[in-house]
Amino acid sequence: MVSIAHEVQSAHAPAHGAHGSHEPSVLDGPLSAPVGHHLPTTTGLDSRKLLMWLFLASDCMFFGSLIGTFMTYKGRSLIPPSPHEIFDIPYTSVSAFVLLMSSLTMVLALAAIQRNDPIRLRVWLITTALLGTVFIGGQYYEFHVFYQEGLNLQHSLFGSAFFTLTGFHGAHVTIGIFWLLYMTALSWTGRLNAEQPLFIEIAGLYWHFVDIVWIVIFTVVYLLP
Amino acid sequence: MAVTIPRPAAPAAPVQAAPEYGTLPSYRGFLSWLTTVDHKRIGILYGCTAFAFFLLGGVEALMIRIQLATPNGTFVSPDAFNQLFTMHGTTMIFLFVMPMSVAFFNYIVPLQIGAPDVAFPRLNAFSYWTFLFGGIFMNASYFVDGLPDGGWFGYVPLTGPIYSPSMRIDFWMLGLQVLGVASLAGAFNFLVTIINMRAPGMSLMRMPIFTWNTLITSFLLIFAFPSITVGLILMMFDRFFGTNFYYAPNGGDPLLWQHLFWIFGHPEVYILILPAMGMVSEILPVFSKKPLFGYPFVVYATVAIGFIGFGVWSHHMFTTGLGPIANAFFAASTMLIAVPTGVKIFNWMFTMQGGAIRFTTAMLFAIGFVSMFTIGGLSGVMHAVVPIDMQHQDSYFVVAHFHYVLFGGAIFGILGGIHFWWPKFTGTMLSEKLGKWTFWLVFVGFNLTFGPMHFLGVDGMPRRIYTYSTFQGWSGWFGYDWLGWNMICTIGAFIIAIGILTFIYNAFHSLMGPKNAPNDPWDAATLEWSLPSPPPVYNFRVDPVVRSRDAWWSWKRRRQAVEAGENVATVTLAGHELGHVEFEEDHPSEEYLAQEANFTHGDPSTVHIPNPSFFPLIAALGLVTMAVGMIFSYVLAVVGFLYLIVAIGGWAMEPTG
Amino acid sequence: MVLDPKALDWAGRQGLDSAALKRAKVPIYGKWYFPDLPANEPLVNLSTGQIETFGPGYRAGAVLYVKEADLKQAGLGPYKAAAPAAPAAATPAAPAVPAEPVAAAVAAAPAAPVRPSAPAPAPAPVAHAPTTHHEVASSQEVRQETAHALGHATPLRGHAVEHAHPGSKEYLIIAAILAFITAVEVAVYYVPELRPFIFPILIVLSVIKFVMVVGYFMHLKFDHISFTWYFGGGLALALAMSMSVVVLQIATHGLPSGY
Repeated sequence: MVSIAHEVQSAHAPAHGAHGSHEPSVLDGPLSAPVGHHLPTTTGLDSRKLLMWLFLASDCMFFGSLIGTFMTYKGRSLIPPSPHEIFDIPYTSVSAFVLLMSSLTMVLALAAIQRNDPIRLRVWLITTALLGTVFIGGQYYEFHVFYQEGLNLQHSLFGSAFFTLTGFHGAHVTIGIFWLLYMTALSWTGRLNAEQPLFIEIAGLYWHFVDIVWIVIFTVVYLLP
Repeated sequence: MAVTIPRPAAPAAPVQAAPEYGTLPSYRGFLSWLTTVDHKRIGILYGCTAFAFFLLGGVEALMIRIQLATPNGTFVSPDAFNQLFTMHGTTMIFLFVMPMSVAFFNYIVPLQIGAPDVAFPRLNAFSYWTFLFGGIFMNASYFVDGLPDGGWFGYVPLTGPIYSPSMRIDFWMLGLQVLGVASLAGAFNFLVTIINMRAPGMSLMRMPIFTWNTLITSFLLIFAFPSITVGLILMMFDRFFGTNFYYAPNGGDPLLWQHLFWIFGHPEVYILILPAMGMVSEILPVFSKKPLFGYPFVVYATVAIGFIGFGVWSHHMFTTGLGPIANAFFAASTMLIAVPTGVKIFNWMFTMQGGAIRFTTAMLFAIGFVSMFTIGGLSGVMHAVVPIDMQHQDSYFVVAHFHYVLFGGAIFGILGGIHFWWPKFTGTMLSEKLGKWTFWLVFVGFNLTFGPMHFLGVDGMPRRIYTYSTFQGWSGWFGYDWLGWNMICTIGAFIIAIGILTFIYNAFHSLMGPKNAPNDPWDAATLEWSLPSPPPVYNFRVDPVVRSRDAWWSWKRRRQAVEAGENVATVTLAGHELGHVEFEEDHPSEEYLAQEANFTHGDPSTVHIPNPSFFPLIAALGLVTMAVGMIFSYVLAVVGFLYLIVAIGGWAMEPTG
Repeated sequence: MVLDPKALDWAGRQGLDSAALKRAKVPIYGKWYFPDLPANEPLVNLSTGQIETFGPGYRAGAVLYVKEADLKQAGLGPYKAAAPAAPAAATPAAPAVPAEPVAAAVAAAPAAPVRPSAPAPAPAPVAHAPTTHHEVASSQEVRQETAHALGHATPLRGHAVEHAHPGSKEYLIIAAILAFITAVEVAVYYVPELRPFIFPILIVLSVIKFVMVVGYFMHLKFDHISFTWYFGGGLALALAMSMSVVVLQIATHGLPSGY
């Protein structure tokens, strides 16, 4: 049992020292730490990660409305082709597989930076971006084929709903690809090293979200009769 | 035993002067406003801009009323009338009430939770600039092809490409998208701020009720806006790219728009009212000198309203032929949502009951809120009964209902909030005498304007008609063709206008007067009142440590209790126990009470203030350029997009200081 | 909840967290809860596990204390009668927690309740100052171990206590499972005998894929529960909305009969 003496003069907090050089702490308030240090928060969770999760929750509603629109109109087109006449399921399942694997490479990239291995990080990031590009390329080719077969945005209800839904998903993937390339460039130039795992994690959350939306779209749009 | 608190010794070193804006390493004057990321300044920007739009929407309303005052009115053409009622609604909802609420969120919430700013200050600035440019963009339609004229709810196929071939609806549609981005960004910001930046000891159930309402409103925003975003995207695709989402001949369904719109629209009305309810919940206790009655129940009721609010949207669609089962379900959920609302009304009444009431202007508006909102709520519950709604739909009865809840509710709350927090924002005091004139003019004018609309609705007057004939029976009193309820409504509208002018005069007069408002003119309950009026740029020198609800009240009363030698375990305010202590053994010590020393002796130079930045402004410009480009030239849209990307890149790379 | 998890080193090893303490109604003395330390009572330092006693008038800062008597009464931490009932997820965390960056201990060391440069009023003696140097020493040691163990240049701070991440191998296994399920989905599509059951089968399979990606790749299973609530709430709402719109469409226009 340690008993602490009473009197302590105003020479308290010696380790904190002058404000210019002190270790940031809970006591200094939420915005007191310089860049590169995680700031103390009420929940202990990083604010940026929290922002991304809230954004993804909101994006669920966005895709929910688009998918709801598609499902509302599923099977109600007045003119052919119907979805199952035109879909090439094996082809699309390959592209679904590609996107799933890109999720794997994304999480491997995160594991790499958490092990403080920037080279592996960049390798996996570029692989993820590449797989994403393959996916987009595959989408583009698929749309091209459909267009040749007479399905376009204006043609029928199915065409409108399908291209809008998959188009917005593709736009999300494209934004993700650019984000990953940007992260790669940041890692290369060595900026913000201390924050990198967090930023990669946040980019990863977005990328995985895009993948799970595709899981839903693949099932609802392509597979369900 | 009497306990004396030793007065804190004079500080050993002189306290550094607080950094003022002029000494920060960046901009001064006008530029400092363009680059500000300070939540207080952004709050002021939002408030002034929103008020300007309020006046614009008010002028539109007056023009509507002049046209409708007499039968066979010729003040405006039918086309102009369509534009007027569309823009009056859109302006008041999206450009006044929502941004004005955000102005209060911005200014007040970080102060109430003891934070130095919001979680993402530049995102906050971006929200404001996007709102400003979006509002200007939408109204700029006037100079192109006329203002949007499809109603604030834009039902298809009227707003589709066939029946609205002009660019008006394009401006409306894209303007709303831009405003949606602004609202979403703000909502995310406030959510993270409230969840993650509260002062030590401030658990969720110790937060001020206004902050709670902000939290729930922000959740409503992030979950409701995506629905209208999708609806507007589908409309945009229909109008620009020839898709068939709402085009019935090709299988589309106009009802889909109504669903998507009202899935947003109903939570939207709660987004409009919850902030005002929060303000009222702050004002009533202060001027009753009693803590809010049943705080946990007010919180649970607000959460319930937010939650159930997502399940009632089709009550706007009872007349669209959804069928009896759907109608019954939505009727039931609509009636259900009246329950938590009623709980809150009772809690407000019981807050006042037994209190020492001071009838300041803010209090008058708050009491006005409770009564007028109740009236509006009663007519709302009437709509919930489907057969009656079949009669009410599209009549002036609905107009009466929503103006009672929106004007008598949201606007009264906002006016009360303005009068309440004015000293904190500006450092001056509004004149109570002029304030009372404002209140009574607005109150009488409001009831004269919208009360008779109940009768007109029951008498069969439909909405959105630009004129009516003498044969309808709505006019012709005492043999005068022109005299009827509509004339009374118009007179009431002008009385409201005079009341608002009185407020404007009051505001200018105060602003030009001495800036001598005390920190705490009302003896109020929450932490923002512990700071100077207006607060310094860094807000708190030391993180306040919160030990109960009504943190500032408890703090003041405990100090008084200790000085008087009373038991400080439970402190009271006019005989009512304060705060929410979790364990019985919570005994505050004299040293806690000496924390006052911290407020005067803390060194403000240790507080980190975020750097100002141009990028939010540039990004907002890029976004609006994209919107303009979508209408006029896709090349311009691409340019806007690149501008946006560059701004985001710069934003990401800029040091936060 | 309001507790700064960085300070929970010893407590974390004991399987104590703010939720457990709150459940047991044990008051936590620290800046974020009750700043004023009870006088002349043995208090347990939640960072180091030391038992300390203070005279009257002390205030805690970022280091947290609970009364030893309360812990004994609640049977928590080292006073647990039975085997530790810490949840399975916490067990792998136990070795991880001391490796968790302990910069908090450094910050906690000068646990002044007022800003460092503010001269304190005389009657508010600051708890901890005399223990500063030995705490700093020990926490610096821990810090070095941490940095070494994790190979980080600077320890990460401000994280909620995160439990052991799945390693690369686990991720590969999960990816293999996902690929397999995708293959099964496609196969089901082509098997005519399964056509009547295709709806539930496909929905179940995609839900499994969805949950696995969200839980493991997005780390939701291991993160703070609030993330699950936020994302889950948005997801549930989106599901309810889209299903309602589809149902209402069927109610008004009947089942689909077009292409």
